[in-house]
Amino acid sequence: MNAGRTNTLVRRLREYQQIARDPVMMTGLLASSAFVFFFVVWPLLRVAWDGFFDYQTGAFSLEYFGRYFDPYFARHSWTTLRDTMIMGLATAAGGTLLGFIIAFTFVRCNFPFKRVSHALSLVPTISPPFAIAIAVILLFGRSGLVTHKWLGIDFTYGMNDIYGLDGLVFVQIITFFPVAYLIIRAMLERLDPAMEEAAQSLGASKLHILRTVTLPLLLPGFAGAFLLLFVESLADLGNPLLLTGQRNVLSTEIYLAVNGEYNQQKAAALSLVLLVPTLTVFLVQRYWVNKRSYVSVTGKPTGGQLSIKEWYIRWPFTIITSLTLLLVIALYLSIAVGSFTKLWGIDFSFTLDNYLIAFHRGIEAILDTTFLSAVATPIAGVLGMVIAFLVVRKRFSGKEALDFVSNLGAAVPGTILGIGFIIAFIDAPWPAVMLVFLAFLLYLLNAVEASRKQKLIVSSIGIVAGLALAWTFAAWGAWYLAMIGLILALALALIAWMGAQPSHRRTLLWLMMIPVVGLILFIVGPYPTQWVAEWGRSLGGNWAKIVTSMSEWIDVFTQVPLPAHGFLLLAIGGYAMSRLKAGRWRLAFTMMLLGAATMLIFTGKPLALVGSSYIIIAAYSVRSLPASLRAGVASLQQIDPAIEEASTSLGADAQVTFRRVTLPLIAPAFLAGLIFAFARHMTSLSAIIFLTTPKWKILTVLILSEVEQGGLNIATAYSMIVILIVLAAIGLFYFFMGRAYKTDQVDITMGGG
Amino acid sequence: MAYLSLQNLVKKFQARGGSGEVLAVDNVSLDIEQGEFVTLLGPSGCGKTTTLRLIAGFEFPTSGHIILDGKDVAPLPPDKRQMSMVFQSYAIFPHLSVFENIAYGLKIKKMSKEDIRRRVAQVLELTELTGLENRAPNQLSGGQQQRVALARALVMEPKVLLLDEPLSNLDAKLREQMRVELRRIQSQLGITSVYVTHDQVEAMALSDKIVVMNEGRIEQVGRPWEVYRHPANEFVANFIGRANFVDGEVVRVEGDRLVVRALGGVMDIPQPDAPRRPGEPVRLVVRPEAIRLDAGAEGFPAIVRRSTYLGELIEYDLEVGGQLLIATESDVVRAEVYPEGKAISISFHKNAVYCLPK
Amino acid sequence: MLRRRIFWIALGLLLFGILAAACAPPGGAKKEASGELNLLCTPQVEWCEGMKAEFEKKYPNITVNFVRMSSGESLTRLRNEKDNPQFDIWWGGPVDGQIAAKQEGLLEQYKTPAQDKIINKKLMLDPDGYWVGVYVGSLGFATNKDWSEANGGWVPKSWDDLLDPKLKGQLMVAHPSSSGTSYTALCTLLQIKGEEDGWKFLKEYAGQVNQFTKSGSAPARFVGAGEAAVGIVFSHDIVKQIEDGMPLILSFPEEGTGYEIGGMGIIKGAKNLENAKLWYDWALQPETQELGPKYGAYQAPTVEGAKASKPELLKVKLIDYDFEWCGQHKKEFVDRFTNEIAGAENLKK
Repeated sequence: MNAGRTNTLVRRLREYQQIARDPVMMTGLLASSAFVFFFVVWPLLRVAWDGFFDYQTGAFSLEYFGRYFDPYFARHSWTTLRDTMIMGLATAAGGTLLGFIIAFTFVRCNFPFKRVSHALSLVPTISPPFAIAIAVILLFGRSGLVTHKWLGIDFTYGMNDIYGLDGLVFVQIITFFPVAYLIIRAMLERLDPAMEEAAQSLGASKLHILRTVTLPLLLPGFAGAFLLLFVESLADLGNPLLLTGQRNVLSTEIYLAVNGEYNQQKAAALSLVLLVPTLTVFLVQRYWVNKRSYVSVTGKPTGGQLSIKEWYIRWPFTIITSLTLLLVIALYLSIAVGSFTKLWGIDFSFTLDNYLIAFHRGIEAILDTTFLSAVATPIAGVLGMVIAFLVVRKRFSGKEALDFVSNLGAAVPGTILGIGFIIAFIDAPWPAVMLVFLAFLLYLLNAVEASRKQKLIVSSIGIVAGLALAWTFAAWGAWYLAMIGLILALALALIAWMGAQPSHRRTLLWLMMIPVVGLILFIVGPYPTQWVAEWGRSLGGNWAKIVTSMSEWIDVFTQVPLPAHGFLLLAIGGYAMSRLKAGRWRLAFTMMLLGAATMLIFTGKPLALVGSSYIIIAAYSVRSLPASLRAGVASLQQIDPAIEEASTSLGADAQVTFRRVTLPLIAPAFLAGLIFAFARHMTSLSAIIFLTTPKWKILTVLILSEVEQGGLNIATAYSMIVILIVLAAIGLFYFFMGRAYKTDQVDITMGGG
Repeated sequence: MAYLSLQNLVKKFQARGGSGEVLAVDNVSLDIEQGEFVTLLGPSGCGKTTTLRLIAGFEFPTSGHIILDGKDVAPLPPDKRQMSMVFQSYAIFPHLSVFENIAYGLKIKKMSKEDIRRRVAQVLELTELTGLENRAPNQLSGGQQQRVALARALVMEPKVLLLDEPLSNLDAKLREQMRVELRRIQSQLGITSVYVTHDQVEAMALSDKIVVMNEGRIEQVGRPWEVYRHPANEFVANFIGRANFVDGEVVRVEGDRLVVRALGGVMDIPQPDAPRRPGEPVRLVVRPEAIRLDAGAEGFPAIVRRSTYLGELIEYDLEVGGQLLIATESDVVRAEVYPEGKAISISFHKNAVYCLPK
Repeated sequence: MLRRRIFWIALGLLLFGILAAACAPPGGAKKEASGELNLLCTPQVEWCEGMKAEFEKKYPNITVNFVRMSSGESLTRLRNEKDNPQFDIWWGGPVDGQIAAKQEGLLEQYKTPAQDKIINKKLMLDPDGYWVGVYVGSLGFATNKDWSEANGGWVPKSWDDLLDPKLKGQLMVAHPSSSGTSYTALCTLLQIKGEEDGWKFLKEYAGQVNQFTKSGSAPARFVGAGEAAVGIVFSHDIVKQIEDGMPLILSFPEEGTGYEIGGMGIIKGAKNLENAKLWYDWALQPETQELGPKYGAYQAPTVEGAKASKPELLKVKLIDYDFEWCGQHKKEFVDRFTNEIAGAENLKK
């Protein structure tokens, strides 16, 4: 028994050693795992943890779970839960059905204007999550255009109006059906027509085929879409905030618990309750639905779709589809028109005031949101590719876990992630920082190749020295510590230069310059930005806002917190180690490296990110990472692994193979993924809503706040601005890439809202 | 010392589903001389591809050594071993032209543009691909793609050329053609080659040496005629060509021949390398073509149970001495095709019956 | 050769670094009145913007960053961030928010001569100097003009009028957890009717509500847009909407109405403490307090010498509102409201 266990342990270590033979891979693995750990695992764990502890006294308490059983609170709690489930199920059912109808119509019924219609059905995915809710209020609200002005309905109490669960479900169906549409359409296109032709030759009518062959084969697609829509509905925050009326659903409860009742424990506890169905669905989907797929998802759609000519099928489908598309057009049109209207419902006169106010009030939010979305986009894209490569091409323990956790970022409702971020990063998350530090340490020591005693001595000296430096100079401030760090980094570069294996001297030097440059930027950065900010302030008005925003942007790049520099140093140092001459050089390098890195990492409050731009960037990246990851996985799986082996056997090492062979082949999917990531970021709400700060304002939160204050018109102007920015980005992409808005390889179905 | 030497190679894999291990390569030792064309032959799952990948460096041996030109190759990753591989699926880079595909490895070696052009032109000529330099891979036929894969590997002038069932995706006629081409090119260049296939005809046609493998072990190593005429065991005998197995007993030894009682009669066969003594039981391999169908009075009486006309050959199922033997005869031997039920008399070619080792 | 070059580059960088260290690190030597101020602002966003612009005019080297958040949200943020406060000063919003903040140790004490000019020190100034009042406003009812005409010109004239069956599902008010306005209304009712009857009344009146909004002033706009008939909002917000063109009628309950005092307090641990103090003093100047109407804010001032823009709003019957009591019981009352009333079954019938 023992032999078996040590064997597996040894095997696992061997696997890691194999990857470690390739230092770039190892660094990639460490970096991506660290990111995912910090920004997905740790916050979620904290949320789970905090649900059990009273936030004021710190005592263990099951109070909010107990509320489901306490008769005083039970009714409210269960009602909320019940309403949440009803909303989820109804949206899932309706959305899946609608998605199926539309997919079927497009693929099989010869619907005209194919590309336009396809694009139209995807519009809800690129607009802010509650745009539809706003539009619906404009058109169908109490004083809505359709309901009040045209139909002349006067809503008195008791009449079924748009507020309430039914209205909410209606809005959610329109918002989320594109997801179902995409999934089912992909399945339809990959169905082997031979099966249906065989049925035809056996005498079955088209309707019969539809019922007995097509639909059963599509069942996994339906199941997948249903589950996905269920989760998206539960996670939706924007629409319920506007439309539930007096009913409550879990997502709004959680939101109110944080923002209204300032009760973290309740929010965390409720988040756990919400997490149960969403995680279950995620697991079911991953391990059951995807395995039962009868259709090969790899490869291109098979040609030759059966086309339906029977009127009794065609007409109902086409009519429903057309109505839906018209509705979508109408809704977005009303937003557009509303943005130019003075007071919708009362005064329909044309005005540009809404935009003027929007720009004046929200110029910072517009700039900041676009900037942060843009910065997070390549981060999510690259991370997704790295993890995809590791997951598809490498074998190591914990691969499944890495894949699973990376996808979690979009699977859990955004509010939960947001809460997790606040709880986890308001102060330094010491346990998490220690763990990651330890992992890097182990990697370093493994690469050193010295006796255990030597390793122990060297690392102890380094760490202790680093900590001593950190504590001694803590009072002086980050700027001085960065100076010390710079000196140490330069010394490190020197050691690397002198101790490098001759052929690698050059590369090593360039590599060690990276942390040096980073630290120099940190030190030098504030001077020009301060000057720019002051100049900006003197301009006054909107220009002041624009210029000061830009100075803050520069700060985002130069003022990366020191702990990040520290981890970067560790990562680069780990790689550099493999290129050093073995023996004393490596030991000296390790000691210096640990000293510098420890000092940088443990100064101040590492990773206490709340209030900074970095937490917003992290939140964005975590939310769009899964889509990028899945695109990477799909495109990698389509590459014959023999191609990469061929490159290797021709003398290319892993990096060259990746650069010359893999990368060009996955580039299209990667780039398409970038655009979706950007769109996702711009329209993200639920994860970000708790993270805005005076310095970094987010557009979607601003829109919500406008609606809440009753300023629907300005909200529509903001919404239009968001939509236009996203469209512009897509347009730019199209212009440079010359490709259509390709959706077949990018999974945009997760992580919305 | 052989040029490429595999010493006690063992490879274990974790079984799917996590329970236990799969022994893919079981203590394989093999010596390959420089310039030799060696084929690893065996049924699917016998470990031949794994062995090839171990040599290439895509798999890490559980134990054992691989020595190339005197040096242990194990610490080297595949890109440093100076071996190139031709894959079953060709694995041509779809985003590069034919020229760029072939030049790929040379570019990595940082060769000058002139040298690259020269070398590529040479190998294009060798593989008869001249004129197709600028084509994209998806514009090539299967045979052309295969030759590009081959050219790309050859242009590297590797120490060892590894080929993993490169012809299995081609149709029969093309396969035959390519076989001839391959052999011609290899002997012209003299590159040490290790070839993997499950097609024994291919193995026989191409190889200097055949390594018959089964369930991770080497069953026999030998030249094609050795493996065919003197199979080491039943597996090899059955795998290469077809075999009838006959049990008998040694009657007496006559110089370099054995007199054996079998099939209800007596026959005289060559002595195997390990001499047998009278009274010993022997197991004989009788190839179908070793049976002569017009023996006359001293032959073994046989009854034709079934006859199948195959054009070039006629195949007979014969009942001889209570046992069913398969016999083949060239069509041109006689006009008559023996019908079912006919009683004939058969005998065996003098040197064509082989006694299996103990 | 390369080695030499590297050496010189390294030396150069080192020298540069030392030079830079010799000068002050950025932000070390602050010029007079410069830098940033992070403002947590609760009143309507136009007034926030106006105040920001005016302050920056007076102190051109300071950039004001503000976030507009309703009272309950603000308190939550401060709570969450107490180890690492992102804001420097909290301006506006009903003062029971600031009182609660003081209780939880979230505010900074600050005594300044400007506080001497406060009109009613008993009500508008914390004796310990943690918070101060910056404006006063009274609660009122906003009725949609068209709806009123359709109902014979009826407007609610008392709290009990809110229970009129005509108003079923037509009432709009904010949720007391996020909105100071709504909490003021809640606490007013509890004080007028006494606790027990008060909760009973609240339950019934909640049954009249269409939807609980998040922001206190939102009901006025929704009512103006016709989504509901009557809203409970501060009178100055209603007046602003009327000036903007919303078809609203303002009325007051005859039993007496509650009022709010807008509070201000410096956040404990503020990163820009000096600038916060500047704002604090500036906000208490009569000229600043008269800026309100320029930005659509019609609250009454709290400082001597400042003229009220709409003095009639305060000439109605005001109850004796106990701010301390309301501030102390905020969590308890809000919790009770959320669990017993909002979301309960009796709302939609």
